[in-house]
Amino acid sequence: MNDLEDQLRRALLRQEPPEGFADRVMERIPAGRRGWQRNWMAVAAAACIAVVGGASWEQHQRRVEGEKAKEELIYALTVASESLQTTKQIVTR
Amino acid sequence: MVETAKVCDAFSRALAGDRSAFAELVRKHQAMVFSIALHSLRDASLAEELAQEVFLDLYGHLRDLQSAAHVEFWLRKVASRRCIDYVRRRRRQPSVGLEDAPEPATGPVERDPFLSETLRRLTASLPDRARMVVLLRYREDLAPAEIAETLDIPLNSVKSSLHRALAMLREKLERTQVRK
Repeated sequence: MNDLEDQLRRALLRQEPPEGFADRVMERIPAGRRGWQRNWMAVAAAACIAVVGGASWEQHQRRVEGEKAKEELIYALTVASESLQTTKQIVTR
Repeated sequence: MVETAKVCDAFSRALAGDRSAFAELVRKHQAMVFSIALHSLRDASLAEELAQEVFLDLYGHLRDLQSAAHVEFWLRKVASRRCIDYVRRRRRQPSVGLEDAPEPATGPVERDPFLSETLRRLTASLPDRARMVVLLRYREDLAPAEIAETLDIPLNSVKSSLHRALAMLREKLERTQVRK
């Protein structure tokens, strides 16, 4: 092996950081769930709300359309009934 | 073997959100990350700050890593790149030297402390990428292909950087010794 390379390996020793390094790192990490877990939970909650909200909205829309169709049918039947009555009166006379 | 199993176990538990397991991972790799930063920046307090940030970054990216071995690779890569970026951003003289760093806890006894200190100083004076290539080769004992993967540069660039760095170190060392 090259002498300089050998000397470099000896010179560039692995050094431990000052005492308590790991504790200082842990102090900087917020307690509770990890950030990515929190984010994941938030995304999952938002997705649930979107799905449930979407389904409810669709159901509501269907009900509104149903009511509208029912009213239109009743109106059509009323008109038809009045027309029949008028025709009946004319025929009776 | 037992050590590897312990690290794998710590990785799995840390991934599940166990803080004490993450602290174990920090303790396992702290010397590697701190040494890269210290030899690169030659400033003990900056090295600690940078090393802490690397581990905080790891905490946020743990779910992206597949294994304990991947953690080690990731830490080495991020520490190396952060050191290069830091030196490029703040080209200034170190305010605290290696002499303020704690004594090595482990490792071989230096046969010639003066020569070793001169080599550390000369290594730190190398251009950014060359310095990191030398550190990864002789501090971390990585093969040129592994260095290329760590720094995300072509293998030929690693080889030429290493070759040039050694030539520069040899020349500077000779000049230093002639002056003495």
